[in-house]
Amino acid sequence: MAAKNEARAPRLRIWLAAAVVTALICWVCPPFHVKRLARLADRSAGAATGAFDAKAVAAAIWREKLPHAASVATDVGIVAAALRTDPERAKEKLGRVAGVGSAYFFVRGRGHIVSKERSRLIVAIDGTAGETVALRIGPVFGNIVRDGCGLLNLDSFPGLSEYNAISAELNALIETEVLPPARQKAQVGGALVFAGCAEAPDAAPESGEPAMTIVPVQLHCE
Amino acid sequence: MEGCDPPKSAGSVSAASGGITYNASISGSIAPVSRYFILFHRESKVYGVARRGISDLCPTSQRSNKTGKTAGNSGRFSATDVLSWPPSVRQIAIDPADDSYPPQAERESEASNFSPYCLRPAPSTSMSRRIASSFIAGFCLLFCLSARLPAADAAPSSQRVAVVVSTLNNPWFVVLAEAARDRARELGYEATIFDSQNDPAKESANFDNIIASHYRAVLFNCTDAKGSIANVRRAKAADIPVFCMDREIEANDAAAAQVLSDNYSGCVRLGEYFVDQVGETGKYIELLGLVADTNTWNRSKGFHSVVDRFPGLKMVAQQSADFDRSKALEVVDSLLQRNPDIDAVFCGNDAMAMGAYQALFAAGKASKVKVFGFDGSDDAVKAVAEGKIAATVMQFPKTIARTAAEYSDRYLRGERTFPQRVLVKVELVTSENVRHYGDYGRKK
Repeated sequence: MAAKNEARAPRLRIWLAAAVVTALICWVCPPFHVKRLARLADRSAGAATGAFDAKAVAAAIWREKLPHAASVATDVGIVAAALRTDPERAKEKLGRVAGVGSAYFFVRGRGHIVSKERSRLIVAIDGTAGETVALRIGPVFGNIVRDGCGLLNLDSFPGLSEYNAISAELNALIETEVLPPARQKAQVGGALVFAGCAEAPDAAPESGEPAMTIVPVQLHCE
Repeated sequence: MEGCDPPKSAGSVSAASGGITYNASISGSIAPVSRYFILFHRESKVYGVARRGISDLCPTSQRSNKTGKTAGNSGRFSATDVLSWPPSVRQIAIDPADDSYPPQAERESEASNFSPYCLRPAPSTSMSRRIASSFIAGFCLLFCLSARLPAADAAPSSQRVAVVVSTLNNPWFVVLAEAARDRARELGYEATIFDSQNDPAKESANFDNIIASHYRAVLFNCTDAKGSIANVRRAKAADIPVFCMDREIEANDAAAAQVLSDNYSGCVRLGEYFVDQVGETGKYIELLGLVADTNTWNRSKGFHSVVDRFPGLKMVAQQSADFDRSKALEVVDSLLQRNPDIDAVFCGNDAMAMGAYQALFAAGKASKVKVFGFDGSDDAVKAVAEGKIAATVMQFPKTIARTAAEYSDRYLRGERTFPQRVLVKVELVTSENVRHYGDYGRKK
């Protein structure tokens, strides 16, 4: 009997050691995890704080950030010349990429009105050899100013709907505050100072055509 | 006589070569040497080997075998007897110092009767040790097979990527799904397409499958901008990053990234072209897509941001056809009954545009009513070239899909900084430039 017990003791120790080793392995490297199901509340950014106020956001950018950004925008003559020679390089060096495939310029300059059309002014840029750009004075559509000014980050908005609403409000501000005086005062031959955003063209502008079409955020006819 | 490996024991053991060899015994107690035989010994004397459960095969033991039965006969076996034992016969270890067994006279006289047989490659360890060792080894192996390797260290070929698409009924989504799958495969992953059939419940089941099957990433085209958020969060909680394609989910903290078309800008351009083609006065119908899809509303708002500026352009009806061609045909057919004098139809996608064209053709109005679509699908581009449809907007499903697949690859290699939303530029396709487009993109 004693011999039997003696024989069992080593076996028990071995099993105990195996169990301890197994437990240690499971502790260090567990084969599975148990997780509680989290409550699936709606966590969309901005949802808890109520409706998104695109008007207020656009007004704040217009008033507080855009004037300084316009004052340091790239000279329009430089961009126009670059577009004529190498549009891709111009986009890369002077433009602002937004997403995949889109690029914009934020430019400033002064010039003289060459022609006045229903929805645009053709302006010869001062200090260039007859380089021209078009300034939009008709209805403003799209995301050119929103994406061209570089003052907004899509990731800080709840979604695309809200982000697109900013465009609509910025466009409305341009149409109410910038364009009416310009339409009234602009005359062929008159001088003007401007700043605005333009979408980068896919190809070099054709000879004789304006280098780009600019949506002005500032436009003063002198 | 077989050469042998001596049993591991206290004392030395030597092999025999005919005659008697006296070997040191295994000290200790009753110890099973194999699953078949038990060596009986006591006080450094081995008295014999007994097969488990069978006590009479082996030489004498005046001790009981394990079963408690008295061992067989008293002890002498001829060489023939021993040789007839099964191969797993164990050696009888005899203590040369022990005069009690076998008696010296017998040892000498019966020298030829005993032929030492080596222990078979009996394990030096006991049964329980073997069992314990096997268990631990098996567990470790099982763990190693099931453990996940760190993402940065795992080779792509061992990882799977799921492509979940809202429906494969629409050729545009087929292109999206296949482009995502193919790019994932090019990057070295196994990729599988899951069709949600425009059904949120089916989409949830797809995610259940993906999570349970330990896919490493999901390239996702959702069915519902709000309803699909829960599925994305579940995948995220399971450490599976989700990259949305084409359709947005209305959450900023669920998906790893969302690669979307700039639908609003595209429909602004389409709206400007609409006014250019239709004029500043006229009547039109709008066909909306799935109301739960943010693309529906982004496109509609972009279009209306332009067209609504012209009071002479009146929208006489606006109805959803769920991005479906057949439904669009039925809806337009019905609306034409009430509004026979429309000038244009604006459709939220090309499938609906083709359905609208079919309805107009059947009503004999195809040449009078202009149809506008969105997507840039092959049949719509051909229809634009043929003058059946006025314009569409080329999304680039292959660019969207490839970008999402590449993001997932970068993520699985350790990168974590991705913009939440990436907008892919879209392009207006009209009769003037349609020659540059085809196969869901720009022609090379």
